[in-house]
Amino acid sequence: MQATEHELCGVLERHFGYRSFREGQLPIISRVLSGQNVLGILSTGGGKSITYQLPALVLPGLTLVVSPLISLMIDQVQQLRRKGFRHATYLNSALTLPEIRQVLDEIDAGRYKLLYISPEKLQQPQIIRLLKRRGVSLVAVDEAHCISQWGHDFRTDYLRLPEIIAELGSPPLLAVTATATQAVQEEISHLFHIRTKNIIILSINRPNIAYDLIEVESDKEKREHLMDQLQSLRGPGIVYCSTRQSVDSLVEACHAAGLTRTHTYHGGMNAMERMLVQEQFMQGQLDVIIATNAFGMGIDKGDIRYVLHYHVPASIEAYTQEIGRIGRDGQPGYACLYVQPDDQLIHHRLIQNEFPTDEELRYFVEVLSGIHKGIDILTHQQIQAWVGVGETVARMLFFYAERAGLLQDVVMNRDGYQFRYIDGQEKAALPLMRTHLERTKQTKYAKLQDMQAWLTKKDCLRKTLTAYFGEAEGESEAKPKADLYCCCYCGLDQSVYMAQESDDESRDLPSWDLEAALRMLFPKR
Amino acid sequence: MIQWQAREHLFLHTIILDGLRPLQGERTTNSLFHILRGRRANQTYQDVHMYKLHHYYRMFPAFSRERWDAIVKNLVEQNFVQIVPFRHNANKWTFSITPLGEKAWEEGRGQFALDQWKPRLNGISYAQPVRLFWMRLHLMAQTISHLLYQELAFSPIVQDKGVQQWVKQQLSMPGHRDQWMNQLFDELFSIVNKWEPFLQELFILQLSGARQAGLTVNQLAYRLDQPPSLIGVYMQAALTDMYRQLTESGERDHQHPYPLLASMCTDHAPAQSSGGRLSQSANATYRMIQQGLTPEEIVSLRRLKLSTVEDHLVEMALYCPQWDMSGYITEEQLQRVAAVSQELGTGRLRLIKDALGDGYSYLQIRLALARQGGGKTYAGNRT
Ligand SMILES: [Zn+2]
Repeated sequence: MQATEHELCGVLERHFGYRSFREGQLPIISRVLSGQNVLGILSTGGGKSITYQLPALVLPGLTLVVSPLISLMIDQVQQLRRKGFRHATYLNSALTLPEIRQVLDEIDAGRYKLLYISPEKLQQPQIIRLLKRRGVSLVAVDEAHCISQWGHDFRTDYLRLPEIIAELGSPPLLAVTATATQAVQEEISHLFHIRTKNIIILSINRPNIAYDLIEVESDKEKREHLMDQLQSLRGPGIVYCSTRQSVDSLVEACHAAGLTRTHTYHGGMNAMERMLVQEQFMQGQLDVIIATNAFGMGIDKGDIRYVLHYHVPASIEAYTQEIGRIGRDGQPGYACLYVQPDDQLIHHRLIQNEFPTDEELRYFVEVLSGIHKGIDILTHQQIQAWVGVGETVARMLFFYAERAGLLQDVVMNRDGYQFRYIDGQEKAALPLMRTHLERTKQTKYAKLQDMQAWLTKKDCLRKTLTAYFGEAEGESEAKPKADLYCCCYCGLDQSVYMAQESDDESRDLPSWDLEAALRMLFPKR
Repeated sequence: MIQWQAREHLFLHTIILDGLRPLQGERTTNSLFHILRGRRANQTYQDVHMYKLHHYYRMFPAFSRERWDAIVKNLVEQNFVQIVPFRHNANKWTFSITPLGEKAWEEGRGQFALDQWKPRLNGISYAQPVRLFWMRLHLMAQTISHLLYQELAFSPIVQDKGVQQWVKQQLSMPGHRDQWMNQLFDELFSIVNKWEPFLQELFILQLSGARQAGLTVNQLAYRLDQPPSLIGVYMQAALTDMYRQLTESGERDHQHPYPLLASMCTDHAPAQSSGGRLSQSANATYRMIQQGLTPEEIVSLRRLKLSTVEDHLVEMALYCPQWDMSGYITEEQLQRVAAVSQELGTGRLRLIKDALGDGYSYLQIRLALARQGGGKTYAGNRT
């Protein structure tokens, strides 16, 4: 399918309201439309989603967007519907069984052009059959780095994607990600059969963001410093922490210090509260969100002025993604990372919890071989009770068991797992699983070390960051350009990012008036 | 801030002591945890009825196990609660509330006006429908607000697809959209206007519209200077009142005073012959029993364990007053079990069975206790 640049610009303006394409979008879209497999590396906020949403409008069949992020799917579908594009929907584990059935019926009836789907839903045979029947024109794999075992965010359910895409009749494929090192790019291209000339990389450098590092000795010192910054920086902003407890306690400290327009955001809050906090932030009712990395995906807010990292993130990729939310409006923004020696330990603990112990691995294999006769179902409760692991670890165990040939046809649903046990494989499978798990774990530790190494370089943060993603190589050590100030090593003027003389909005609340409050919600027609 | 946290602790201690009081010497502290979380299990339903803890059922559905354990530990450390062996079986453990605990309870009871809001709550009957009512109201208010501001694009705060469907359906019926846009203000104003101002504030500020996103419980707690859990309880009480007012006035009058709000209370449970209170699996058993199958036949047909089917029978005794249990227990036996339970002042099966002597199965005792408890609340709800 061929469309001229002029025609594509017309579609862009009509449906998305933009006059022109951003850098990189057009070469990706035109290659995709001419039927080639493409890898696009665009920084967060660089307009990734247009690269598959626009083709979805133009192509005759269905466009699939594979994404591991449920909140992002819901958000994008809502944003599209707001723009009047009603032919988009999603399939993921957040839906109930009747809801899934309804969506499947509607897909069958040809109601949709764009389907967001989670990787585990795309594993289900009846869904694959349906999609095949309906005809898929394009598969877009979002967060494509998740397929790489060298990536910071390897997801087991991504590995089977190439196979599934072949089953769907090998439609054109678009892999997109915000961050990928050279090694990860190569792995993605290899697995999805993408030719080198179809790898489109946009510079990771964000000239309007200045980078700062603050080294502290103790938690107390860090907290004091953070409170100072929050008092003086111009918002809105985000503070990222590695644990829920620190999120909660920092927000308490903020409230005690009179910073009341601050709220927590983490996975421990219920769905409605998270929506409320997000909406308040979007509408300007809140100045600061203190959050775990659960916050930010799919947040389309251009005027975020700063992101502070209270703990060092688990990888340079994660860090880049999180600070990528600053200043999408092009105005100056400030990224600051607090460095405390102990932070590494938090990540070590998190990684420990994420993987099964060797004992759990052995229990798991024993349970499978012990009960398999006549039973090919394990509920989540049984797994918890017999193997002693939670759902995340269980998912990992089942994946590696299948990869090691111990199980086949593993399907996860709301209640548990369904599978076929292959007799006589236990002996060989156990060491294989052990090796695979160990390798994945080591990758995570390596990412942590990369982060640590970056922090100890004591060289221009912008230059070393882009070098990490392989950009500066061969470019004669040229330093990437910064708009205003570069980083704490090259020079930084903090005052640029400070709020003007605090326009302290009067803190006393007006006395309660029911009629006025209700009229605010429901104005007279 | 510190004080605010201290009051949150104090409030939770008070509630938990209050909930534990009827259970002491009879159950473990865990029973209350399950009640507060609203566990859907026969044992929990029976505890609720036996010890009259309807108001606490599903009061804190998101309460974590860690938090619960920490609070119980704290109550024990403060010597408010003691872990003690059962009277009749020294190998099993229950708990008792110490005089010190009683004193703490008395104080908290007054401070947090327990007696004022407790009778207004009835989680076992209302927690679920009230939650659905609230989600519908929340989404409808947000939608109508955007319509009135003529901003047609927004992110729905309520993600539940069923609720979204319901709102869509309401607004797509001819003439309905105008009715909602014109009258929602009036209905809300007239029903909420009768409340105390602080409840009004609590209620209205949680709603989202085109010019404001609703506040979270923590924000309200801060603003109203109350413990967050107490804020949740006030809200639950206010919503339950509202829900009852809406559903009850509908039956008496022909012209409902709040037709729009009342329409949010309809078709909550799927229409089922059992009244919709049974679990899905128990409902299937119920239908088979009605068709004349025996429990044993159901066991082999549905590949269930006999104990599971018996659990279903107990559930039916609780929730289906119309079910004729005479095939399982005679009226005379029923009275006897009730009398013995009353006399011993206990709901513990083992003790009742010992007192009754031979000739009574555990199933019979459970059926009798369930029917007794269920019957009482059934009558209670209708007053
Ligand atoms: Zn620099």
